[in-house]
Amino acid sequence: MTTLWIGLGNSLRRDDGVGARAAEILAAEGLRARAVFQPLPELALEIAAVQRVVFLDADLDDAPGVVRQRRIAPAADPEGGHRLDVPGLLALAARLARRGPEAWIVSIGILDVDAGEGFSTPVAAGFGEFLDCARHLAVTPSASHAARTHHG
Amino acid sequence: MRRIEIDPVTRIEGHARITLQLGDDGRVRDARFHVDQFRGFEKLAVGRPFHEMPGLMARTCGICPISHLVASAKAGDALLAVAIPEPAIRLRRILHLAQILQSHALSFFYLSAPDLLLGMDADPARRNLVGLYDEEPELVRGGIALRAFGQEIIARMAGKRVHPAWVVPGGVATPIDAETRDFLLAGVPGAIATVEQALASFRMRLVGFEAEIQHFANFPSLFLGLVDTNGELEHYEGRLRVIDPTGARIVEGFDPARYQELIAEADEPDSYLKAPYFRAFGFPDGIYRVGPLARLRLVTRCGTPRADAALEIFRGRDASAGQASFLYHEARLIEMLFALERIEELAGHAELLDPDVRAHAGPNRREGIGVAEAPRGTLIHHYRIDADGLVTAVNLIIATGHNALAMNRGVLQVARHFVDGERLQEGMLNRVEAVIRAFDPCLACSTHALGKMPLAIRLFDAQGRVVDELRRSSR
Repeated sequence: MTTLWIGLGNSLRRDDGVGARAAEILAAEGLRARAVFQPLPELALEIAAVQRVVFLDADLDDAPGVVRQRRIAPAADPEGGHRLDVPGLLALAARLARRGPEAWIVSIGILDVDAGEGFSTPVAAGFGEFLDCARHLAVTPSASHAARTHHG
Repeated sequence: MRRIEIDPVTRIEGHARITLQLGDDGRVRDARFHVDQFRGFEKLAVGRPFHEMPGLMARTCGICPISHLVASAKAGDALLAVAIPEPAIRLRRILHLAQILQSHALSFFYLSAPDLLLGMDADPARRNLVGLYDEEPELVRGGIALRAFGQEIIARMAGKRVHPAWVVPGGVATPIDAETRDFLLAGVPGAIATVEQALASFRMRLVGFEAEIQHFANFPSLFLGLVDTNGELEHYEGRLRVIDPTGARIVEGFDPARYQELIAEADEPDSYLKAPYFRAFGFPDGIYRVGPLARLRLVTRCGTPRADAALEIFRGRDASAGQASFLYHEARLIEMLFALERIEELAGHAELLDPDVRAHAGPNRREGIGVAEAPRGTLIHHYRIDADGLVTAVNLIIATGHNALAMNRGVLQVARHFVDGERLQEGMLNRVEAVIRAFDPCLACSTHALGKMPLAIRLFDAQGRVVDELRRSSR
């Protein structure tokens, strides 16, 4: 199964860059991974060319350091105008590919989005688990997957 | 008096709102385009070493960082007072044209095509890229691929798609390899086919936009921009030309480093956008437009075959359309053709892979000015440094700022023609936004102030009447 990892976030806004940093590490390991600030329509072309896509993202609404993975579906009625979110991007990719890839999101709760580099203590502690979870999705058959929560 | 507020203005780069003031009869009395965000890079950069400026200035914008990189590096070139190696100039030109390509593709395919191809009154829930795909799948697929091509050129040449620091004072940081050159050359034919398809599709639909052509910021103004020594289309260097509404040249061959003799800067009390004007005509009579439409009106020809053929058709329509800003969209498509043809020409040059791409020197002047034609128009970076090479003053005039007065006048013109306050419909307000989209403003880039920021505070009573007002101007 071909898999693409897309790490979202700004590495100059501390914890917000956790997804992008993870994608950089996965790319350095030889995996097909891309770090970007935000979902962009042109990513739909790459998503349409793979069988599984894994988004790596920070979650400001979750408890800091808590890692979760879950399946996500394309938006049924994507807004796609002024801004594009992950379900909207998947909806566009599904149209380009006629049948979109299986999609997952691995998130980690974050604490600090001030200007600067480096992660807060709970995010730094959970980062290994976040990466492992992302890597795991490359090798595990989708049928065995369920939403999982890790307390980093 | 009633007020309609469009907040935010959607499908533009940055954050802004529009207010419409209605009379008792429901007709529009006044309309204003407000840019509420503020960046202030002119102050942030003071105290930094001048050689850091290109990388720092690229951070001004996520859409056109390359234009800032190029203009800033050219200001740095002026501070070094050295001649830049020809291979470095070719590489800078290719990179800059790739950015023109990706930025225009974003503006046309992502932001404006839903209005242009689905219609201004189409269901707003469908008036987006996904809705457009359902109607025009090949066009959308091609448009996405076109932007991706422009961005990938930037990534391969400069190291990353957004905010690279590869262009430096004196040249570029590294030469490119044969694989990158081959990637450029291989991608051009498919990209040209996409643009020509979009151009044909746009032209076919123009007959349905007669009212928009007539009323979208269609008024007499000056046009300003760079042209090359032959008067042809030029985005990297050249001399300033200004034409009046009749097309007569009122400024010709003007050194862009003397821009302050031509352009003065004003501010508006309700916006952080600078409002530059043509100094000789005063404020606000010195209104002028820049960008793709201005450039095509300024040049004698583009200088590449496909773009020149498209320009000929464009000029036939432009002549009958008055001074229609709606035609910015078509001008953008023609510039994409030009960018692709020129990239192919430059990438085929025998010395493209030459390793000598940078002149090294310390600062030899205290003042440097770099000017380029960004996707949205003339971009000016002006720096002063001290004896240690630290920046002491910065002035930026950003393409979108040049168009500030024209956008405001355009909003009022559109609102007066299309908006009926008694029977308000969504399509009316979409047209008010769409006139702004025609200019493709990049607000993150253009909201800087030199000196004291303008400010207006208004106190309204329960009936919406202004009962008190405080104003602070930087003029």
